[in-house]
Amino acid sequence: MSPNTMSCPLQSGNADVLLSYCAHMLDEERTELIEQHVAMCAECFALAEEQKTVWAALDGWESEPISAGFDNALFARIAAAERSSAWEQWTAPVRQWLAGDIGWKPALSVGVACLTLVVGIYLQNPARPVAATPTVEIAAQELEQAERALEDMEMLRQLEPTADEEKRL
Amino acid sequence: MTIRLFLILGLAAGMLVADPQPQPKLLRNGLGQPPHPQAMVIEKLRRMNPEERERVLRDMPAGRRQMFERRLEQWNRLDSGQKKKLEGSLESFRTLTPEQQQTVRGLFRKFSETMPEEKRGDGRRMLARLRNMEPDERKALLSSPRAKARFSDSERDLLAEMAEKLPD
Repeated sequence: MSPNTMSCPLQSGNADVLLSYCAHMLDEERTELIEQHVAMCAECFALAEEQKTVWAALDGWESEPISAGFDNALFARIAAAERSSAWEQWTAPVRQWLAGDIGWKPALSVGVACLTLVVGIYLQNPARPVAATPTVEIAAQELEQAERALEDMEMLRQLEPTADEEKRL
Repeated sequence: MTIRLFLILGLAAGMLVADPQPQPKLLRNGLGQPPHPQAMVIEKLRRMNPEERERVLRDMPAGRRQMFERRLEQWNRLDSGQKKKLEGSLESFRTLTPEQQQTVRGLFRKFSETMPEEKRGDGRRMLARLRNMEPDERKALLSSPRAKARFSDSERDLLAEMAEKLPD
């Protein structure tokens, strides 16, 4: 296939070939073909130039040098996290939030959930006196009924034969 | 930091205020039905610590209170099977009208007061048998020489009346 007969990668929806060319990922023969096409096609030329700029920028990028004590500090933090108590691990997000390391959004969601819970619980028990002792709230009438029930059950128990007596029935 | 701390404290205070009351655990009577309200009150009393019980019973006259506590103690000593059986008996008893209930209480008092101690076991056995019988069968059993030898006329009349008036 000659560059003249080669269809334009952009027009034929085959831009990947062009991108691979820019990334130097094509074999020699195809690279030559694309090179010749790019020299003739203004659109492909423009794209190839843009890609070259990107690659040049990436090639020129140098990562920040790691500080001398980075590894030691990292391992020390991992070891500290492993030693920390369950309580510290559970409360870490809260402490981070209090320190301002985490934004308001998660806290707001938790706050709304808690508020909903509080309102729900309150609506379920609206008339609860705060300091009342629930177990001693037995009305006099209830007490009399319980007294009567105990008396009647004692009577009914005494009218039933005991286990030994039942055997002799 | 301060605002966040206040938010947490506010929410915690809200949850404390809205903290629900521990609801008394519903005891089932074995038939899938909720227990009788009186059984729930008894259960509530049974679970109280001495101080709480003192608060509830402090206005009760001494003799009545002593009797109440003795019965509650007896109830506590029963196993779950016995309790279930008694609750069932109480349910049946409660189907009677208040007047009929009063009559049964009077008959029981008479049984306790007039039946000699040594005869009460036989009296209970006889009553259990009579309660499972038709009126004619009851009459025949109570007229039998054995019954006549064991119980006086008034005792046999009492047993017949109790068998008739007690619920099934």
